Amino acid sequence: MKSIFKALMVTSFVAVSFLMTGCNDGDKIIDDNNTVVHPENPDNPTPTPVGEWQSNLSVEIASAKLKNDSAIFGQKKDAKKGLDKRDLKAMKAPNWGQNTLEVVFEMDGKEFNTVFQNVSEEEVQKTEFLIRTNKEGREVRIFFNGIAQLSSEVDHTGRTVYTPKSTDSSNRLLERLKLIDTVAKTEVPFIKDGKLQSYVFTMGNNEKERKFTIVLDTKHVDISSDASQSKVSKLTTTDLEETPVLNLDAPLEDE
Amino acid sequence: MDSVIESKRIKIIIFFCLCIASLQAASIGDIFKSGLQTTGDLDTSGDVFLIGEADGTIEAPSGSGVIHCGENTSDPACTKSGQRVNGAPGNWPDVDNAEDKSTAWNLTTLDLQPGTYRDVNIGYQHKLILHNGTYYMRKLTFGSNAELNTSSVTNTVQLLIRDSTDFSNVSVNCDSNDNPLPPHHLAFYSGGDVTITDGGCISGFVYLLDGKLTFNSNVVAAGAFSADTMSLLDQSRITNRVDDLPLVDFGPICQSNMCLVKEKGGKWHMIGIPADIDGKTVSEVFGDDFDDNNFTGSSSDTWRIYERTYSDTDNTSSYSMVPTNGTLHQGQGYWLGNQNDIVWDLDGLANVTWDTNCPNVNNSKVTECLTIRLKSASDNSTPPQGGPYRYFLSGYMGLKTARWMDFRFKINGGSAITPTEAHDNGLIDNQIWIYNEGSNAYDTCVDDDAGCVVDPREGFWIELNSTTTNQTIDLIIPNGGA
Repeated sequence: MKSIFKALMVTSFVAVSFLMTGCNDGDKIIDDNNTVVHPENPDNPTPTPVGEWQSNLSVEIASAKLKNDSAIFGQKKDAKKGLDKRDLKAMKAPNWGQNTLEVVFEMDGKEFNTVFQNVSEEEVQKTEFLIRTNKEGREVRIFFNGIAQLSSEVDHTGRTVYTPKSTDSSNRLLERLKLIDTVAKTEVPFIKDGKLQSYVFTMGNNEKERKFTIVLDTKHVDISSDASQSKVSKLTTTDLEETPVLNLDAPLEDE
Repeated sequence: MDSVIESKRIKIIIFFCLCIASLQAASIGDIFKSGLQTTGDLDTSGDVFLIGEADGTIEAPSGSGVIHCGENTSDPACTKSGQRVNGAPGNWPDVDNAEDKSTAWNLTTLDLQPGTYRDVNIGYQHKLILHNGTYYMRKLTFGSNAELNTSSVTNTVQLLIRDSTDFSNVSVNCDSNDNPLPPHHLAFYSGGDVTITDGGCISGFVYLLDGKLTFNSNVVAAGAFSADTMSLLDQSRITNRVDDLPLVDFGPICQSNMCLVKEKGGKWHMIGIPADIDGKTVSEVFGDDFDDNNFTGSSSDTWRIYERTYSDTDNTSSYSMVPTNGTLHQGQGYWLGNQNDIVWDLDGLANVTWDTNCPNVNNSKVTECLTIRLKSASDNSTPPQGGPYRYFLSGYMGLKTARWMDFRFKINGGSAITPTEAHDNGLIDNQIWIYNEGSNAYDTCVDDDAGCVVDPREGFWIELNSTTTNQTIDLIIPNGGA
């Protein structure tokens, strides 16, 4: 029953979107993916999501069984290009001799877990982040995830509350996103041939952190290199690191 | 061709959602709320949905769709992540000496009221009728083609069986044509192995603490299945559509004062304790659960509890071990470090006494709250005196997930204000930080994010500014509401 309802909704949406296609809304045309098409070049549209959105990075060191999904970036209307109240401060990971994996955005010399900006369609948005771990030489994989549109409403206290919708890996905004490995000088598209990509790199011998830049371009990202991967290889048990023994005295040393 | 998924010490949650297209996810989520955010619609025939953390390898069943795993996302079969939820019943009643129904096998129908039973036997083609409420049993056995009937259930049957159960060729919460009935009508906890084979049908939320879950061919299954070790044989019959995967944390099983938590060994856990712990000692809370309940602070200890202690003159703070005779405090968060896998429960502890006079948070699910006093920051804040912020380690004492947006502060006994208002007043940050064991780092979120929640048994950090100096800062914590 519900799938029928869903199908009707989709059909209605497509129909309405179809009717809207080609309708000039001021300077904008809305295409059937609910994205803004630049009227000067409708055959090669620059997709821009309507409203506010967020995405997160999943970073994994499989050999140490570490995974961090906490780094969130995106756009909110009342955010600024630089530091503002929409950016959430990162707290330093406990330093207790355990394996750690941190993912933090860098802005104004400070570190954040979440960064929201508000950049116009004509501007390229760049967001720098660091991946930091406690041990050098590890293989690290970055998974790109889909886009979650944000709906907002003002609650009874006057607070604007945001609710992420379900993550959508077909959002055309993904076509404009790329990752730059500032050490390897590698550029990786978030999505390729319709599939979300991942990027693998190995920390150097004395390297415990690496800086990356996420770029939201004004146009489709067109990268021909094959640095990204849509599939991952299987980890064997022999690849696993030995887990450090827990030191129960560690908290006395504080972080 | 049979396909096999067998993993050694795998932590998995498997979701088979069949024939529940008419169910709204929210209605299931209301009962089995939070914890796991699944991916929503997977409108693909034959999907098998696995979520969990896997220490071993997983092989996809041939020709039957997608596997979704947790930590083991390096496995090419895994496409999404999630985690196996901790939580299982503790505080078992004495099932060994409870009323015995082992001779019920000769009854065509056994209509059983909620309660505690020793052994229950249901004979060939016979029927067991269960009702809204909680059942404890030592063992439940079925003859072939027997039936566990929940037709009178409007809420949930909570069925807790200590020993292993074999549901082979049994209809469990399914109709006479083996069509699954709404799975949220049955929450089933097993202390032992569970086998579902040979044409059985089961619809429910099934949680195994340590046992092995085995399916084989011709099984119709709906709902969610969580087990450390899982064996799936021949998925050829799992051909129905997966739709509206529910949010699951097996919350109904983990009820007030009977919650038991399994903590991984070799890790630190930032915890809140969901009971009235004020004035209770470490021994009184954890001593009945852990092997060495008199840790000495020596290298031979296998577990310890630490608390955050705060300077009275500046914003520095540090960790102190709480000895086994040291007292714990309501609303305070703690670090539990344990070398081995351990399980703790709330045996012997009173429920939290919640206040019903709570500020309006515009959430009908919030009817109870509790106020705790935070340690305000100091204005002697020039580094190295700890800087301008006091970081307070709080512990959530609810058994249901709460939204951070429903928390309130009171400054000097004034009106209740939101974290955002406290932040805008320059007093307290509206962020909280929660420890993530998967990365050994902190996650963070703010109260204007509807998804910012605190789960049962979690601790969280709050940042107070030096502007709170000499002010009383109360945090009003809601009992659930997410």
